[in-house]
Amino acid sequence: MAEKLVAVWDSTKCLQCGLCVGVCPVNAIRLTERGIEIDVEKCTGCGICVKGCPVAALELKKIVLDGGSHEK
Amino acid sequence: MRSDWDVVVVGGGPGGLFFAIKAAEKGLKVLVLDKKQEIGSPVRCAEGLGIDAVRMLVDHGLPDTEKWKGHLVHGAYLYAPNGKSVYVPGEGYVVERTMMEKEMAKAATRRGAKVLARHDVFDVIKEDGKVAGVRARFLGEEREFYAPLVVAADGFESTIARLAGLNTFQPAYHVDSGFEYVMSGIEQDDDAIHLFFGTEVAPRGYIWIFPKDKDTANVGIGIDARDEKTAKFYLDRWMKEHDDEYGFSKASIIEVRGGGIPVGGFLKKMTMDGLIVIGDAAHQVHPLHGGGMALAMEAASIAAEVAAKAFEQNDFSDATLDEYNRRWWEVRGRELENTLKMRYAFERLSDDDFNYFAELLTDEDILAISRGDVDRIKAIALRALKERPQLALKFREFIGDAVKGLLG
Repeated sequence: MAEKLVAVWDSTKCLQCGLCVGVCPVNAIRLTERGIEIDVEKCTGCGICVKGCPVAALELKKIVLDGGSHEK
Repeated sequence: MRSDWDVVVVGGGPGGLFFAIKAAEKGLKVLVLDKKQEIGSPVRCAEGLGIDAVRMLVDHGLPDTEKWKGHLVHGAYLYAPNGKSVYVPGEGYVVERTMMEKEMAKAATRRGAKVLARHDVFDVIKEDGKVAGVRARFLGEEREFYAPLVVAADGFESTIARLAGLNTFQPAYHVDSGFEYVMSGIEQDDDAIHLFFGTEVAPRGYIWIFPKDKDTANVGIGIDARDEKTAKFYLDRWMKEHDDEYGFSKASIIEVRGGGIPVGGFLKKMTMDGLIVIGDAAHQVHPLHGGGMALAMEAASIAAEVAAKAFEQNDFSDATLDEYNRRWWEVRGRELENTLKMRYAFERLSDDDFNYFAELLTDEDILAISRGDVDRIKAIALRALKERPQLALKFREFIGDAVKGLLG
C-alpha cells in the first residue's frame, strides 16, 4: 500500500480562518460548513499551510492510501 | 443565454458589499452570495479603518452611528524594540466589523441588491469559455445562479477566481499569518492605536493594540507566514513580557481570530471574460500595514463603474473589463508596488535599525513611507546612510545607484 506525506487537520485548534486555503499551491484545501477539507490526492505534503497556520492546527503526517485514508 | 442577475458577487465582505452598493446605485440587479452563516462573522481583522473610508460608508447609506463605526482614535504610536516610540496623528475608527458589514448589506438591499448568507459557492459555471454563473450549496440544496458578470470578492482564500481559471495563487513569501485576541479589562491609552516592531517581537510584521473602548481592544499580530513558529507563539510571548503595562493576564478573552493577509504579489490581471476579482482575493492589501478594507472599497468602486459600462455596451469580454485593471494600476497599483519595495527594506532591518529609525523619523516621514513616496524614502535612506552605511544594501530598491557606487 502506498504511503504519502500529507497535511492533517486538527479541528480542536482550528480558527477556520482560511489561511491554509489561500496559500495551498495545488488548491487541495477547502473551508466548508464542516471545517477544513484536505484532498489527500491533491496534497503534495509541501507544508506551506503547516508553517502558515497561526495556531498550529495543521501538521504533516504519513498516511496509507488504500481508497480511504488512515493516519499511520 | 440564461441570466438571472446582472451581477453575482461571491463574498459579502467590505469589497463585495461595497460593490453591491455602488452597482445597485447604477441600476444593476446585483446578488451577493456569502458562505458564512452570518454576514460579518467571523471577523478576521484588526478592524482599523481610516476616517475617509468611514465617511464614504456614511455617504453610501450607512447610519452615522457608533454601533458600527465603533471607537474613534486620533493617531498611532509606533514602538521600536527598545520602547522608543513615534506618534503619528491621524483620525480613524476601530470599527465593529460585524455590525459594519450587516449595515452594508442593509444599505445594498435598500438600493435594490439582494444578499444571501450561508450560500457556499463551490463551482463556477462556464459557457463557451466565459464565466456565466456559479453553483452554490444552501443547507443541503444545490442552487445555480446565472449572470453575465461574476465578481469574485471571496477574500484571502480566492477560490472563485482559481475555479474560473485565473491564477491568483500567492507564494507564502507574500503572506502574513495573523492572530488576534479581543481582550476586555486591559489597561491602555484608548485614544490611539499602538504598533510594536522588532525582529523578535513579530518577524516582518508587528503586534498591534487597537482599542475598541476604554478597556477593550483587539490585541493581535501579523508575521511572515513562513516562520517556523506560529503567530500565536509570538503574541503570547510578548503579552507575557508586557503584562505589567497592560494587565493581559487579568483580562478576559472575548474572541479569538486568525487569518491570512496577502501583503504583496499583486495581480496585474484581475479580470477574464465575465469575471472581475476585487479585494483580498486580488491581494489588494497595503504591503506595510496589511490593511485591506479601504483598498477593497476603492477597487469595488472602480469595478462597479466598469461593470455599468459593460452593461451599457452589453460586452463582458476581458477586453472591456480590462479597464478595471488599468484604472486600478493608475490609481493605486504603482503606490502599492512602492510600498512593497519598502516592505522588502523593512524585512531586512535589525532591531538596532528599528531603534535608530525611531530616533530619526518624524511623523511626516512615516506617513510618506506609508504612501510609498519614493523620493521621500530615498531621501530618508540617504540621510540614514551617512551614519549607518550598512543600510545601503537594505534600501537597495530605492538607492540602487548609490549602492552600485559603493560596491564599485
